[in-house]
Amino acid sequence: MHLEKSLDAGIFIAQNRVNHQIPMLGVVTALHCEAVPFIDRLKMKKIISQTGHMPFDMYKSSGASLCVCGTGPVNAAAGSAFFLAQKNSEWLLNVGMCGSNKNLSVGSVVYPNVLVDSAAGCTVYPEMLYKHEFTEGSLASFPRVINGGECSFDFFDMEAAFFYQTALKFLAPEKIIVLKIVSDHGADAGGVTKKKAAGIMENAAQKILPWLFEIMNEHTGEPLFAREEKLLLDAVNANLKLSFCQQKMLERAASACKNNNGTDLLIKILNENINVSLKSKNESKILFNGLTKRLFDLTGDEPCKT
Amino acid sequence: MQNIIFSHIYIEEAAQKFPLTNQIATRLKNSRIILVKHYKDVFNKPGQNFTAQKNSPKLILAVRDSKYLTEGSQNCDSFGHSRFFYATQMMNCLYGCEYCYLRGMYSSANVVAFVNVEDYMDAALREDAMYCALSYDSDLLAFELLFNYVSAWINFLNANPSCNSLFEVRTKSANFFAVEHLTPPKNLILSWTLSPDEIILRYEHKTPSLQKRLDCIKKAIGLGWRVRLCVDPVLHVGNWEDCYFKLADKISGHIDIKDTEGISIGGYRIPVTFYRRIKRKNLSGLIDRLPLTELDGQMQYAAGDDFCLHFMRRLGIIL
Repeated sequence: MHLEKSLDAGIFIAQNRVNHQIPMLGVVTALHCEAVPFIDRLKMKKIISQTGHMPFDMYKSSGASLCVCGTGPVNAAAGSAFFLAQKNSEWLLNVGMCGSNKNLSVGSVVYPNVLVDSAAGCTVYPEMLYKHEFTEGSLASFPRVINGGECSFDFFDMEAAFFYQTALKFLAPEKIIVLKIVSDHGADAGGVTKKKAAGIMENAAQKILPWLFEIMNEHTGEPLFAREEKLLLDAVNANLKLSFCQQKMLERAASACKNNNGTDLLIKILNENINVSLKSKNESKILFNGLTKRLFDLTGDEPCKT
Repeated sequence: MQNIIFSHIYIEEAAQKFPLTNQIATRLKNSRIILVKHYKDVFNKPGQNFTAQKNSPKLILAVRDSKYLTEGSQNCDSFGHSRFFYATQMMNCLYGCEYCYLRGMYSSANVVAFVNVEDYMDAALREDAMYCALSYDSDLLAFELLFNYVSAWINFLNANPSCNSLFEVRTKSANFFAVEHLTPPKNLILSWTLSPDEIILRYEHKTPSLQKRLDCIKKAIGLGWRVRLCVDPVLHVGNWEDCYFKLADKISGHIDIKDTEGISIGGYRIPVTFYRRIKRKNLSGLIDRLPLTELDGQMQYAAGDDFCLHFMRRLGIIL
């Protein structure tokens, strides 16, 4: 499912969300002009709070949401935390402009493999698990505007490291992506107007979104159980009043059975267990043990008791 | 996921000056190099996803500054030696065996290689006579084309004939060709772990086939190397007894056990903490199905059985 065929990312993401094929994407930017191409392409609408006050500008569509957090460490950390606390993102992208000490042309997309929090003096290493065609390098985040010559790192900005450290508190590292777009080389920072920034970000969004959806699609995979199977498993869990651990064990047994015998047999066995009446907790335990044993037996991998 | 074997190499600052570091970086010239202060900054990061990293592992080159030799676990066979040690020159492995304890031991699937090999060798020389497992938390021979660790040890042992310890390199690899031109040291045993083809196909991902391992063993014996066979762990899954008896037939059809240092057979066992971590993170679909019970801090098969005797009988070792 390549976006090159249809660059309408909004429709793409909405269709696939309905089929539960790709998870919810969250985007965090510092400035509104950095967010515009993503808001447009992902067909997002501004969220208006019922109380009339939102600490950060937020946008949402059926498959994505976005937060404009503002510049600097406090805004980056507070904005990301506020956004992620809403639990509306399974993957998170921090995108924005950065300065470059490398001889890279304006508009180049950068995927930092080292993030330096210059305020705290600590370094974090993002997971570099995905194949890409962007430029890699080290990026340092400063709490103030700097000139390129002031730091020895390849790239510099005011948010990425602060954002990444905050995001790590909420999401697994492999689902947090930081991408920066070269806007200047320190000395020429004054020449970056709103209009120029919008143009740079527009071009970058065209490269970033298809890549991002492709890796999200590739690394999400098929759900373990189809809708009917999931409903049946939930019904068995409720009927047998299974504990959390028992539920996980049943899922594993059901998944093994499904892989080896197909879905029909699994559905038949689960159906047999949704209307059983129970008189005691012990009875539930006996039924659960019998059910998981039966499911494992059918995998052909059931251990031979010695 | 990235296509090349290690898309990124993290090099610890202290490891930069070692020749092996440059050698490896040159061999992996398409990999991106990232300098780190300490290898644990990358290896011990919180929240790592073992499965995702296993699909795209990174290499970390580091320097070990102490504990070159560690006393071995009681769960491992010391083959009658009172002093059993192991050397952790690498952490993690290329292979993806579903039952491997490393899945529960480390939070990361990235591979750490310690480049100060000479320090390990000096430590081995200082020790009294011992049995030392060199390929313990990894498979050194599998990485031989990249790191040359096994060759380095062979050269070291040949150059120090007075070293009265016995060393073992355990492997599933078919990379024997990488060391076959060297003179076999008298105090080094190459041990191959053997499993039935059904187990290899299903649970020992990315490992060479049984036939390839047997071919290596045959060749090594022919060239005068000391070789041990290890049927360890025996996995009680499916019709395991038939599979393992077929394995015994295949082994005896290819190799004369009398030409080897012996055969080691062991049931599956794993420390409880590792077992729980593997289950909690759902890192193996296999260990759920093994009939394990907790005993003395480790998960192992409930009762002893006479499988070992049957297996040896099948091999023709005992009548």
